[in-house]
Amino acid sequence: MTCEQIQQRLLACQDPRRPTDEIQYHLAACPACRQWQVRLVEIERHVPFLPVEPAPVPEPLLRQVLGKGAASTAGTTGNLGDGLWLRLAGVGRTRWRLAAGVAAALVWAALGLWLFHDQPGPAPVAHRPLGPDQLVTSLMAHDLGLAEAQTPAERLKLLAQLADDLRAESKNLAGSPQAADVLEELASQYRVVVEDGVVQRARKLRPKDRPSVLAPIAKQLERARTDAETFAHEVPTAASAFRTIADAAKDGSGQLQGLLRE
Amino acid sequence: MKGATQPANGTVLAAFNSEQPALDEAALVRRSQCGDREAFAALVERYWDRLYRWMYHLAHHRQQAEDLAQEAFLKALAHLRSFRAGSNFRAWLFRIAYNTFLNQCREDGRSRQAFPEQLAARGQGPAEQAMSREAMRLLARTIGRLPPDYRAAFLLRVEEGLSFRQIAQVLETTEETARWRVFKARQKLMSVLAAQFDRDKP
Repeated sequence: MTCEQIQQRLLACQDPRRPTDEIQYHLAACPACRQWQVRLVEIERHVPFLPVEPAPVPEPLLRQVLGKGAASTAGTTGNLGDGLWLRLAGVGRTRWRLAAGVAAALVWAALGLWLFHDQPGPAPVAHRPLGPDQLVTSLMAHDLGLAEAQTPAERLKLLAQLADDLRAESKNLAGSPQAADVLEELASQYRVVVEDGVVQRARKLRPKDRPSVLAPIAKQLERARTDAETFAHEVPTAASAFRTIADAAKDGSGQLQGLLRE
Repeated sequence: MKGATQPANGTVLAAFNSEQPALDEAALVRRSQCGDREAFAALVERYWDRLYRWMYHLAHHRQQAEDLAQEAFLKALAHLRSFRAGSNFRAWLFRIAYNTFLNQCREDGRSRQAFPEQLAARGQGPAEQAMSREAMRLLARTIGRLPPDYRAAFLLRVEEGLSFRQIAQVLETTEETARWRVFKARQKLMSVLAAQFDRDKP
């Protein structure tokens, strides 16, 4: 067998660390193929060490699974099914009100970063005492990211992510009657980020940068609109908040599409 | 644990796990199928990190990966009765997650996501002591740019240690196709990283 054939077989075998006897025989006599095998094994050995942003098991998921405050999922399709998507029962009202307040401050800090510090370079970031809430942590990370962003496109992408995180947290709160007012606050912040952040920032983007940056954000907003409309329909207690989100996402998507057509 | 009312997940599951440390997967699945939610929660805890990590490598977005993994678990819970006892629960769960991912790709009208470059540059794990930082960055970027089918198969082989047959079950394809996808992924990685390896030679 030639070296090329040996290497092809190594690529096709289940575990390159444990090749067949025939391949091993060749490897023992061929330093080039042996080195080739070592490299392949090294690559595979390092894959599990590639960094991934950590995400613990979401508390709403476990609450849903444990059936604490949520109806049975039997018979649901899993794709919103009977409208039982990640309901957060028994949520601490005070904790979430505090989180929403901090979220609002961080959203305004984020918007302030591009309103008043549009040039590359470090910018001041609002620091507040934070609790463990992922929403606040996430928003804080976005604020820091905005401060460090070097280009208008980067800032725009971060604002879009910020909007998406607000929407995701709104989904987590859906179905918890105690959190209705907090949900309204998050929806309002979503609208602010989309209208005063994403859309305004998009207008200032250079035309040649628009397709690559705006098209995916427009799609994200369109997806957000569909998602929010479904929630508004399926979770009556959260209908008003999700209509706000759906309207903002629809309007934002439309404006971005318009900019793309210009 | 039936009477546990503490809302803190960690508390509930830690107590559950310590009560039955040796409970095997088949038993957890059986109990889940009989309506034992805590048993299913233990399965969630057992597979969350792995499923989320796989989804993250496919979606390249933390929130999307989290949403996909959550949706997969909820679908699994909803369809638990259709799971055949004795078959591979992990493969079944991962198949649900993969189909969820594909559905999302179709909805998005795309099958390939931008790779977060800044993430590839992060990390100082023990592996990096053996492989240069640049090589790790290149590895992450190259894996991120593989076609999703190939990336999914390769990661199932390398990170999950699944056999070609199990990969085929997850991706709903043939064993030979699974082998081919892993082969092509390895081939691509070797061709891209060869030059970097040469540069890193002492």
